[in-house]
Amino acid sequence: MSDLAAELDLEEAPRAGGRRGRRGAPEPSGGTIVVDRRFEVETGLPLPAFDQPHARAFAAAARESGNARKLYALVCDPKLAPRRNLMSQLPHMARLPLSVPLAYETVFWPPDNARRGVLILTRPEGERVQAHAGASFDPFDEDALIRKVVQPLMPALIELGARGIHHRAIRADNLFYRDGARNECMLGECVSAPAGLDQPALYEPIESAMAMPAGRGDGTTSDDLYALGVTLAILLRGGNPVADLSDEAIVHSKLNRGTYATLIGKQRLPLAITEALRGLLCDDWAERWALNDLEMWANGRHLSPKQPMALSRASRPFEFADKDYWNCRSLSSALGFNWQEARRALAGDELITWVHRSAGDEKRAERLALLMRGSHGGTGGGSGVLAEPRNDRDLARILMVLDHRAPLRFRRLSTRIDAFADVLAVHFEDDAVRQDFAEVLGNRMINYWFEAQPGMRPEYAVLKKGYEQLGFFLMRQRIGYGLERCLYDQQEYWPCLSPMLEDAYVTRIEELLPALERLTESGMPEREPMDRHIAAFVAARARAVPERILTALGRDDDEVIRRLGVAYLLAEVQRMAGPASLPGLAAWVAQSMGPVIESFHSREIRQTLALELQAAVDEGDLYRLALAMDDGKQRQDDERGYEAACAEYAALSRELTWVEQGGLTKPQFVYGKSQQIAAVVAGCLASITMLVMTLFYIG
Amino acid sequence: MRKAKDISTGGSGGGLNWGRVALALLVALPAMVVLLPTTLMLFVLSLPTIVAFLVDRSRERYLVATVGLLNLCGVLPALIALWQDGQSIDAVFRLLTDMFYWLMAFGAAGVGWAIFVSLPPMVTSYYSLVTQHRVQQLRKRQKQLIEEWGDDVTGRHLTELDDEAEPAAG
Repeated sequence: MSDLAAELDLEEAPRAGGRRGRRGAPEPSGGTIVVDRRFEVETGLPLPAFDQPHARAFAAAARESGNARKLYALVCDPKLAPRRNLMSQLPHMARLPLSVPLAYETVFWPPDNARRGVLILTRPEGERVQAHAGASFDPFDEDALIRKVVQPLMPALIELGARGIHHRAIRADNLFYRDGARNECMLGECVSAPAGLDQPALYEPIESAMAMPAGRGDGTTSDDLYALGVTLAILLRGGNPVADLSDEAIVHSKLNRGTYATLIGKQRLPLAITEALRGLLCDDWAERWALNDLEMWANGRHLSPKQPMALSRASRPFEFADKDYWNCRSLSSALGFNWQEARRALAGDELITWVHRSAGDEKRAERLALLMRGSHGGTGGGSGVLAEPRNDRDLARILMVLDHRAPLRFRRLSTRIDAFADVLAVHFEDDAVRQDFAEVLGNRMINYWFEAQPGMRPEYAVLKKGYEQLGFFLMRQRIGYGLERCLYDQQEYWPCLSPMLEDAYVTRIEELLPALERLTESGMPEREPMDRHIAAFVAARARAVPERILTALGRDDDEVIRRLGVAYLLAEVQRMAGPASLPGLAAWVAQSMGPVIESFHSREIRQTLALELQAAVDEGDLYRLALAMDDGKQRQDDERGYEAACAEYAALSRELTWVEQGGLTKPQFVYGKSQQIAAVVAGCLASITMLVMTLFYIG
Repeated sequence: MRKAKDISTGGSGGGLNWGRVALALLVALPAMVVLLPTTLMLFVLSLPTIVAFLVDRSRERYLVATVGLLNLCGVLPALIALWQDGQSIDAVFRLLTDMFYWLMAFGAAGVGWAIFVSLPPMVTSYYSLVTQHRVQQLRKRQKQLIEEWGDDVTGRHLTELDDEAEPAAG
């Protein structure tokens, strides 16, 4: 055991957390790795008590001897990206009651025999307040809640709010005691996974709870305050009072009874606490308490409690899936959670009638009528003939009309509008989600969602433009575009998901070529160093890549051009991000240049190219390699020479055939030649004779 | 007008160019009149060439060249003698009675005819001998081309593609 391990009092470490434990702890294998040159992580000393749903905790310490701050490390999920956009700001908040990241680096992680993103964070000295999401504990009283939780957390919440950072992981099981004496609480870390991904639906406002976890997005400070309200309620109740409810049931309850009633029920609470909880758990975000409200309350200034949200109620319910729904929002939620059933249930016109007559919302009924009667499906429902199920596109639009605040829902996909691209990133390996994502873009569902909103917010214009760009990428299905490009274009820090780079965790363009180079150390891979993920990753990260290279990459009909495209793309990356010499990768690329060299006809040119290729490989220079393989003059010379050679060969063949068929001895040929020879001989004789005669007569 | 001119000048590779013939006659006729004895002598002793001209209808007129060149050499002694005797009609007749000049002119033309007639069998024999060598030379060059440019240079892949396409089309 290293010094670091000896220093760490592992007996002290709380053992109660460990949701991660269910996923299987890594095999203990001793060793220390260095992160950011400043910290050491013990790979053989896991700290399951600090595990997060998408990260494993290990013991860590600062390397410099004077730093006694307690730390721990989180090894992040290689399929996700930590919130690195917060890394520059959070380290400055280390004095606040918040576990902050001090460093992040992608390092080789021996237990996994792969590279992983490792976070170094300040470590709470106490244990989790709630060991895990389903755990019970002694309920907090009013005084403890204010003294141990609200007041200590206020500075952190204010600082986060001031910096525009949304924690998005405030929940009872991510709340730690700041010290062993349990006098104060602190917030756990919030960077190891995308925002909101680890939050149960209970901690999310209604609009967000209806979305899938990956589709909850960065959210707002208001979302954090809502989550704080839920946390406070759970602390007061000594555990999750609705642990047995599904996400759908929780949303249904929040929509029909309100969040406060869902969590507190009929329990009588002190007035001061009621005031805070009603303010924080207000389901209308415009009415929800802001930070200054909470601060005032924590300082003893009491405000009048918010009244429960008045829900509209129809005169008679709409029956769906054997349940009654009394308002449009809860019906919309239920339809969204039960998509296939909803398609069949909405085949007829009953919904329009219900909204018009029972809910008394004429405008909404008119919009539904326009949508449902003017579209495919929904015919004959009232005449006893079985109607066709509503198509997915129409159903999605019906849900928007029923509840414009709800997330964008389409089959399995359900996302806040600003987290649409996050869903693709988190679920990229899920074919169904990929398909839904593509159809949402292809069917312009995002535009419909914006149109369904009562007003256009400034941020919508930015989102709309970004999603139009995604549509452009999606229309081009060739390599370098498609869904992969959508993924990397929208996610700045997302790792490249190429199967080749599974163990490399490449998130920056600078890391790509070294990762490919490392692959060659254990033997030359058989496949070429390019696939759709790598091409899209490069195109998104290195925006200066010329379009002609991407076009060449997509030329599946011309293997030579395609392979040259591979060489050029990697060469561009080398020129842009280095390193200067990559002999292994150059050899790998050269291995796939066979067809390019073979495409030259001249043996001499091929030999020259092979020599130039070898020289480029020795230097590890991909650009030289690409240029050598794509020498326009050589290609032109080769083409011309080849054409001339073909013509000569054809002429030789014709002559050969003619000679072999006795062409040289054919009378016609012989006679012609004889005549020529005779004329020449006569000419010679005449010349000689005249010369002699001239000499004779003159002499 | 241009068309008419084209027609009147005639084609260079076709039949007689009457314009040129007229021009030649315009120059030659006065000369022939002035040098009548020489013209007579030439006409008589150049009969083999005239016959060759009438016999050889090929475009190149190798026979005319072969016979004519040697015939001209044979006529030269008679012409020189005529010019030495003062170029008169009498001298022409006197010289034409001398068998020597006939022998020279017709003998030389005969040699020309003999060359022309005897060469084909010889040329046939020569080409029979060089055929095999020529085949080897051609094959060698073809092999060199294949080595330098690959099998595709033979054009056989195109033929094979055509062969494949034909049944498919059929």
